[in-house]
Amino acid sequence: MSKIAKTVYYMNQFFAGIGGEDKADQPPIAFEGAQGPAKLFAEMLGDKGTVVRTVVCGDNYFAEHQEEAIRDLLAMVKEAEPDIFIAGPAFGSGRHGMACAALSSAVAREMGIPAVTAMHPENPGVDMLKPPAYALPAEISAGTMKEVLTRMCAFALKLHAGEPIGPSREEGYLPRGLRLNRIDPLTSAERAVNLLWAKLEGRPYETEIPLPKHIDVAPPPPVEVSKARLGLVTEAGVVPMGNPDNLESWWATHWYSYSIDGLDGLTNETHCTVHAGFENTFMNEDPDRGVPLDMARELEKEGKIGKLADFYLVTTGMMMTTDNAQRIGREMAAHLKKEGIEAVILTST
Amino acid sequence: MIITALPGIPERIGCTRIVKGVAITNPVGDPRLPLAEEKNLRKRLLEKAISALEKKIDRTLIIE
Amino acid sequence: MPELTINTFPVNKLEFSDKTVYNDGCLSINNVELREMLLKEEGIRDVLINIARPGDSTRIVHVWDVIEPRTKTAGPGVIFPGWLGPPIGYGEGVIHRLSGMAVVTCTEFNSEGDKYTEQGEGIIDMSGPIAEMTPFSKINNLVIEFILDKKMNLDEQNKVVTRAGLKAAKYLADATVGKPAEKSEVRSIDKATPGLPNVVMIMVIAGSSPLLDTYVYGFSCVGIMPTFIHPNEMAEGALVACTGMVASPANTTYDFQNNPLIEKLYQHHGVRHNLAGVIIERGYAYEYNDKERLSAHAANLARFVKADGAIITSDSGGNIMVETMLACRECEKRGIKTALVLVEACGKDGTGLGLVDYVREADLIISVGNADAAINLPKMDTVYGGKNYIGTNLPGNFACDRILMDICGANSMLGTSRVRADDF
Repeated sequence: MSKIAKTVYYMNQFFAGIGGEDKADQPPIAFEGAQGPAKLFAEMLGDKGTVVRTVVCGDNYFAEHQEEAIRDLLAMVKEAEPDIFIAGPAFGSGRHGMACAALSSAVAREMGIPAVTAMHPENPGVDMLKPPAYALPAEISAGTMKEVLTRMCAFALKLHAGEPIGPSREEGYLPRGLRLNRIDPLTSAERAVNLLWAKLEGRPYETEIPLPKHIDVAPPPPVEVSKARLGLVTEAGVVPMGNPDNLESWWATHWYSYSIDGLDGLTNETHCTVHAGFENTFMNEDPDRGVPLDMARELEKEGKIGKLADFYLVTTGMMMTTDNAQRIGREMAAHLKKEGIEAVILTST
Repeated sequence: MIITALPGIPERIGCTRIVKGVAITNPVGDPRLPLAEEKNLRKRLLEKAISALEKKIDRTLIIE
Repeated sequence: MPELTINTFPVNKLEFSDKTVYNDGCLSINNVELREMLLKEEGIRDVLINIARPGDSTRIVHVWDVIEPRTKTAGPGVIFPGWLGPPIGYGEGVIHRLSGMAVVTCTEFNSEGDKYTEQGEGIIDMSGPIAEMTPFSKINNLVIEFILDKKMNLDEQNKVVTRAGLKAAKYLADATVGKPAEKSEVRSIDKATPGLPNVVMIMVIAGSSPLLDTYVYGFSCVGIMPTFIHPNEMAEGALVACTGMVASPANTTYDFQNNPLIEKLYQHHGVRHNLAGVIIERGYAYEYNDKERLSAHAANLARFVKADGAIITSDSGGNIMVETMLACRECEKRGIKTALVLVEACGKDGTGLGLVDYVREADLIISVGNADAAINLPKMDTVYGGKNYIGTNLPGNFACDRILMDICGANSMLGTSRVRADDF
């Protein structure tokens, strides 16, 4: 028997009745009690909860001042001392979705209370929603408001009651980029054969591991290499003999910069690889097979490379977690930029 | 740009300039070749890498 | 192909005794005799033998392999061909198996200084929260720790331990000779039922280096082309494990002997589908073209036996996933519908990209869990197989923060465990 759920509800300027696109630059503002769809939500809560405050922000204002908007809205939310936080639903609206996702994530993380929003599965806000907040799926159009609010209300109360929450496909919330292990009643052998039968027999089947979205990056502009400063970077774990900084052989969290000033190539006396993810013999025989310094020097002498950086950067890519890889990449990029490097050749194993 | 023996992997995560390398154990070398030929191969790979950096592209470029 | 009869003798009690005898579910082991037998093997300096039972407050560390005791009692050839006799497999005759137990071989290899060949930890907890994640906590384990003569190179070291473990496995199973089996099954996939879909299994197996390989009739599988292997050959021990780098997603000998996927495919052979064959494909080729060549050939073999569907499994993780995904692509391109069984690498907290590689055609993947997940090992009363966690001074029975990858069998892609990752 949980205590009554005090709710703070967030929505954009349109749903709050302040105005349409013309009022999208509305700064954060708080109303006591329920506004807009929060009124319907309050009815659904019944005697299980109340909406004590509605916080509102214009979609454009939020997009253009995200940090301050979150800071100010968070303060308004905290002041009301809620037990649960609701945002949206944003349906297909991208800016509203991003605001709902960002704010819900901040509330859940900083206040430790259930935070639930809803939007269409392809709303750009979905990628911004971080645990411990949740987003429920919604249609594109706001015509399904009542249906979505019903689900949001039930789910929020479930969180408030401290009930265990199962995987997204069972509970009906959108995946949050978080994969956790559980013990299934069936072995993978049983599931695999059952699912293959479904596929062979023309019945519906669902994968247990959805393929990741293809990541599209706009290609950076070209560089005239004969006039540029070029850097060599590698994940092949090639380090000076003796591995002076103890670069890890797997699960690496570090990267290092080593001087190649005055070197015309790497040799099996000066360098080696410490990478645990492949047979090291060939690269140890000649580390140029991992960091192509010898021929890079030759191309530099021929004028095909303007100037080689006087260092190379190295890490070990085996079993590197995604978040470490991204951090190391960003740090290396910052270092390269600081050193005036305009183009990079990255070798990978 | 990136030189790798497994071009599909960087292609899927947003790398836009990719040159296919020799092998996992030696992306820019080949122990089966005599040294002079191997150095030549390495130089050619770097030249491909440079050409990728110098090319204006609007979508991913993979050079084999 | 002639039939193979598998006689099962269940073990629900293991004990030490002055005579090795099997009686009514109880296997008494003359551990002194077994130890003396193993000490005669060249390269072994000492042998420690212990029993770990389900529910014991016991942790087994430094695990090299898990083997189900089997022996051959009739028909041509030997059990574990290539190890205990000539590498000539028949897949026919009669074999005995002791179910509900395993020989668990443990050792600390002397690495050759090359980081690529560093041994990883392999752990089995017989009780506590981690026990439910490994299938090996539910069987009686005879733990044999080998202290090796370190003068051998790594390849020789692991062959010594492997051969000794298989010898011990046969020695135990020999106690069932002449006894009545609880269950006797005749195995054959010769008769197909017309009109049913043909299904194959494509097992992509590790083939890379001394601690990351698979033995096919006693030989490393590096360099082999994909080939058919009959389930009855596997039952006789044609495939033996060789993985000391990662534990949870690696195939053990026990998985090859008691392959749950093959068991299930076999159960419904002629009833819901025809099991048209099992194909092994070596993974971890160094060049992309080689990976394409191997996977296309595996798909061609599948097509040769008129496969309509294929279950594709993998081993250990890493760039072997490229071969695995290419096998999926090449099968689908040839009209063979695929289901993959794969481990995920989502990092300690589960937020990383789980699939090392993928192809668009992989629309049906079964999850055996995130092997990178952080776990806490509780303190246990006893540790067998070694003293400290590998590469540390921490006693193996002490509490320790580790990752699921260290736990034998937890993320087996051959179907044993029930661990599965889901979107949360």
